[in-house]
Amino acid sequence: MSSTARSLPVEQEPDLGGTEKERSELDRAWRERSGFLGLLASADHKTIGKRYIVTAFGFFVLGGLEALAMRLQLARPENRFLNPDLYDQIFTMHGTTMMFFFAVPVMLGIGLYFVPLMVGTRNVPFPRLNAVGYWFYLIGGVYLYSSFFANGGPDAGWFDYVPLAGSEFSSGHRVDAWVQIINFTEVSALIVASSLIVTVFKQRAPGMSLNRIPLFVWSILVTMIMVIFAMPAVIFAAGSLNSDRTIGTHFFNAAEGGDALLWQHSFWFFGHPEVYIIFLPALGMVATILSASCRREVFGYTAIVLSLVSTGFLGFGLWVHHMFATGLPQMGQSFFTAASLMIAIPTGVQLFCWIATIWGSRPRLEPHLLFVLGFFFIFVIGGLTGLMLASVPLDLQVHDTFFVVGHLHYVLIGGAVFPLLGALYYWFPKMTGRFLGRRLAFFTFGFLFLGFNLTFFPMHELGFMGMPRRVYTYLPEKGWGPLNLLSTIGAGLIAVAILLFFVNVVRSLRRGARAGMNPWGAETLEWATESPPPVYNFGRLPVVSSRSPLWEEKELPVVTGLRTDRRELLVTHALDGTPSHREEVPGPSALPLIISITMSIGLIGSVFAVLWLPAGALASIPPALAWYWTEDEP
Amino acid sequence: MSSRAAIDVSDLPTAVLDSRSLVWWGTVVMTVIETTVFAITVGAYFYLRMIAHEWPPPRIGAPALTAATANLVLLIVSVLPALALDRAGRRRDISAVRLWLFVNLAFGTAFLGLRVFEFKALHCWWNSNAYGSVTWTILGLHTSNLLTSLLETAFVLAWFLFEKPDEHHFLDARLDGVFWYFIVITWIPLYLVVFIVPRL
Ligand code: HEM
Ligand SMILES: [Cu+2]
Repeated sequence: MSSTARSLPVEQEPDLGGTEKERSELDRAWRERSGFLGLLASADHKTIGKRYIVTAFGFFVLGGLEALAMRLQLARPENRFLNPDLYDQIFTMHGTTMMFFFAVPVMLGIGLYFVPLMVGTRNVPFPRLNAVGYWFYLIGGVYLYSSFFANGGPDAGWFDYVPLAGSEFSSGHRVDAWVQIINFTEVSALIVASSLIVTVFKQRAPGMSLNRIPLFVWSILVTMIMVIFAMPAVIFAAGSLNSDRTIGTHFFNAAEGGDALLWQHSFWFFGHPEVYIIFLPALGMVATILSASCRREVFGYTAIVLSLVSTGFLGFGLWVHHMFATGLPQMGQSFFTAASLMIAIPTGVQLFCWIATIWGSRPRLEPHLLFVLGFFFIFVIGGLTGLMLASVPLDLQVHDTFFVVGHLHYVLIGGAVFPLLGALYYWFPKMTGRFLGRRLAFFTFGFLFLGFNLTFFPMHELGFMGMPRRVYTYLPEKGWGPLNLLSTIGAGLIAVAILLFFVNVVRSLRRGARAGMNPWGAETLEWATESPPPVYNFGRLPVVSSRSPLWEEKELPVVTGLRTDRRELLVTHALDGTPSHREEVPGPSALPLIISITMSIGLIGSVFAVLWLPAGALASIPPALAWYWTEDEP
Repeated sequence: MSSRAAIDVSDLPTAVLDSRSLVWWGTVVMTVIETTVFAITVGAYFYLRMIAHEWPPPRIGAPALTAATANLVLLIVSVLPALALDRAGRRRDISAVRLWLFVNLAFGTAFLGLRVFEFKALHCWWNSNAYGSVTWTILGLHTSNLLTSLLETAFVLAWFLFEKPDEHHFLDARLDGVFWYFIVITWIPLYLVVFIVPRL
């Protein structure tokens, strides 16, 4: 690797200025507490964002080990590695972990870390609340896995259809664990969504009008709005399943006027948008990586923003396509088929914009670009199989077969994990001040790409051959053995790829090449500050007058007059980004952790006796009061 | 790449008490979330009603109206002190804020008391049937918002009684009024759903 390709000459490093005195005042005003207890009190969006990312990868490993266990079990017919009961728990844990504890939180974490930097502000508006979000997420995950290791892992699938998940067919506390973690993860997602929505609307750098918001920030904004409208549906679903199971309500009990399909409707009203909640941030990452790699603005900014927004809308019109096999009226089926096909339009628009961006530019082939190209390839296949599933007759044929398992992994891994790894490679220098190893990253990509296709492509064929999903084994006569073995070998390669990725991270943290402020020569504001950024993000806040401030400006315009001796934010107007006023935000505190614990005790306790719930709420009043009382403390 | 000073913000106010402030936006986002929860639950209500042969189920009968309607009137009247609180907050008038916070707390508590009779007026329990489950849920959700609001009012009142309020406490007082509007506004359609729709 040549050094010129990797960092800019010093005079080209962006510098936002600020005097020595201002800097030392800022350091003092924004200082985080030290020591172990200090760690528990952090309220910095970057620290919390990083925690989300690291924790999410911890869960990715757990979910991945579960996937490996399943693949080993399925490698040959009549295998006895996992018994049926454990297999049920493991595929449920895998789906639940990957969706609720890995894919969504990792996107939340990256959004939390980068959105405030990219819009040019010092912190999110409600830092302490933001900390609560993380603690809820962590406690929820610890609770889920404690149940699992105590032989209480949920076992009714990641979407817990009733009546199977009702108390009649799932007694004991296994499904209760699933129901409660929904509360934990949704509260956490809603908190991040509130933080980031207000950040994007009210804290953008002066001059950053709506049409100058970076595409990644747009993608996160649309995602967070989807969170706001989608999560309440699953909170309702899980809440009513919970009360059906514990206090005898009858939402899903047909004998007393309830209905099992009510579960499917409310779950998928959330569940389909959930896929876009994972996928839209990935689209934003793709756009970011493309413009930095091609060193030009992404082609068709407005078209991309509009297609992100319309994907967000359409995402809410599609849930019924998960229910084609339930015998809905003909008319309704046609409508939802059409709507499901329509979602291809905005995605197609983006694809063309990306191609036009690359066309004629001379992109540098860094690993992050390679991950994006891999994403293109896989995503086109995943999208095609999705369109196939959107047609009712085909869906009825392959419903609940491995075709669906193949399809969903093409979409989720191809659509989210590939861009995610690319984005981490791209942003790692900003987060740590060091590069990830380039060669190891290429190897990671190679193993992942090969292993991924080897694992999931055969699953489509297995589905056509009739292999059902969620079944712990099969008979040799079926002839499914060879393809399953192939798939298991592929899973092994994926494991190697992920291992290489972790080795790379650990090594680079200590010995990676040092990165300057803007090692890729990119255009957005996160690159206008040190790597890693100080707690307050920028010595002076940037002012922008274009979409690509670091490319367009010879001298970076900055804000002066913001107080440096207290934690002050600049608030701007929602549409045009002109300055409105200044506001002080609260700093680090242990209260978010304390209140998360008291509330968690109520939620988890309610699995065993309902009275824990009000008890937990009562116990949360003193910390809430203390919170209110200390909000003004420096 | 060096920098140049472009905008000086030292003259801008350090606190605003209106819809420009961050907490205000936070409150709005929260009410949007709550409204979505209500909307989904009401959706479930109509779904269950659609598949039911009889709504309310046989032998339960439509809910009684007296307590609920009295409570609705009380709630609508309670907008007045909330409005006064909002105004007082904006004027930064400490004694008026104290007074109206107290009146708000009283109204809220009275409303909470009458709520018990509203549950009774449903003529069934949450575990009687799906109709009971969904109506209890709607009332329960609204009650939990009410409790949150009362708690918040009590906190702010305590601050105004025992500490020296600064700008952001006046904003809190205003927002306490605003949250009360939300409780009133959401209750009107919910009242129609729970108490009137079964009579249609
Ligand atoms: C890393 C490699 C992965 C492998 C080898 C793998 C393997 C599998 C297999 C074999 C199943 C089907 C189990 C069955 O139906 O019998 C499955 C289900 C599933 N996987 Fe993965 N998976 C991987 C990663 C992921 C990721 C990254 C996600 C999400 C972001 C994900 C989400 C799901 C979901 C939602 C299900 C359905 C679970 C259910 O049926 O309840 N997987 N996976
Ligand atoms: Cu879907």
